[in-house]
Amino acid sequence: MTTALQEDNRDHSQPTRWSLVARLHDADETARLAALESLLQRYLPVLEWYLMRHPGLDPHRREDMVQGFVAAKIIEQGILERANQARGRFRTFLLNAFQNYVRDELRRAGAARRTPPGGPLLPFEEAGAVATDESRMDQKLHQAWISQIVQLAITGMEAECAASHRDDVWSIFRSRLLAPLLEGATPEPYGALVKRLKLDSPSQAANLLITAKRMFARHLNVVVSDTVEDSTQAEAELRELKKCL
Amino acid sequence: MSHPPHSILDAAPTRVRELLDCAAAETLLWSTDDLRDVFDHQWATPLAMDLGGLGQAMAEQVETLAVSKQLLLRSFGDLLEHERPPLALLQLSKEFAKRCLHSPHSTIPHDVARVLYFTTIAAALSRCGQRISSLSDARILEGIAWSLDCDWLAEKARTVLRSGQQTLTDRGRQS
Repeated sequence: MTTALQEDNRDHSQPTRWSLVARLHDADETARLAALESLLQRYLPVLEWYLMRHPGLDPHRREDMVQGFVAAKIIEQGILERANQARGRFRTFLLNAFQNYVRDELRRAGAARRTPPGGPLLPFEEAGAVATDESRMDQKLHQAWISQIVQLAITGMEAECAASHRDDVWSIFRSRLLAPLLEGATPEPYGALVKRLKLDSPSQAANLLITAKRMFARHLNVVVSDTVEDSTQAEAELRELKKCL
Repeated sequence: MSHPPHSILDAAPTRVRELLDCAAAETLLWSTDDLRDVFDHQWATPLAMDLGGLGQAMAEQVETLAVSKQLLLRSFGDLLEHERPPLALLQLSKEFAKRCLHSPHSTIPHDVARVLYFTTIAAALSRCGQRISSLSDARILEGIAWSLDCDWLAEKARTVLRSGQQTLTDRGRQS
């Protein structure tokens, strides 16, 4: 019988956020840069996506703003290290820091353009519309965060399937769930899957899909756990994330 | 700043929600009877089999601790129901449960691992008078209450959890 821990010992999953943040202080510069790159690859797509859709931003400034945030906040101020010691969730900490940075930059750019101090006052209705836009963007940012979390879980699962030669698990997950849900594809019928994956029966295909769902759920749990103080908070965080959707 | 086609970041939130629900349905994949069976099996599993997997040094430590003072702690159940369990063995069991919670490769359902995690903490509190977790009292009580709510949970585990709950509540009253 294979025990849970023997299974666990086969775990070749990605380093955790905590271990990467710790490596930011490594004496070896190559290790430091690699850790920073790994961290940025995880979370930067969300920030970039947000800027691409921000209505108040000049398209030419978006790239500068991402680089500015990385240079000023992540590298100079070390907010990722501070996030480890901060109370509260990593998601809230990072996203708030980023939104504050964007607001400050927009305010600074606006102030430079205005001639009268404080700038012309907006009509009441227009000011309300700006606030609504901002709140809608806040919601979109959190939604993008959740999507990125899901993406990391999917990537982890795909890597595990490849490493353990479980192409059948990945294939059925992709054709029955991922492609239909995220790309609007038609789910591949069980009959076709049985032929393609050389399975014995449709019920074997159904069982394979259950295995795939379990694997995805575990990867999701690992990714979410990495953004909270300890794994016991992962379930609550997942509930919170769902509320944003 | 380019994203691959069908980037998940552009997917409709309702679709992402469906995917999350499908993951959450993992709990539905295990029936109450399944969870009861897995937990009972885990309760009777030899300590050396699971804790030994933590490494060779650990395996030897488990062996030494399990047979010390003629305790003859063969299984998780033996350890958690014992009147004076070795604290170090409880710590190892807690670490094992935690790793099962963390690992995507764990074959134990998360709910079972979570109950095992809080049962070891409860046993350390009530039987050894020691904390083996850095969680706050409120968080431990929350976890114990959650575990007691699992209708598949065996009475022998409930007894351990309740005694831990009592110890923490009494401490709270005293302080």
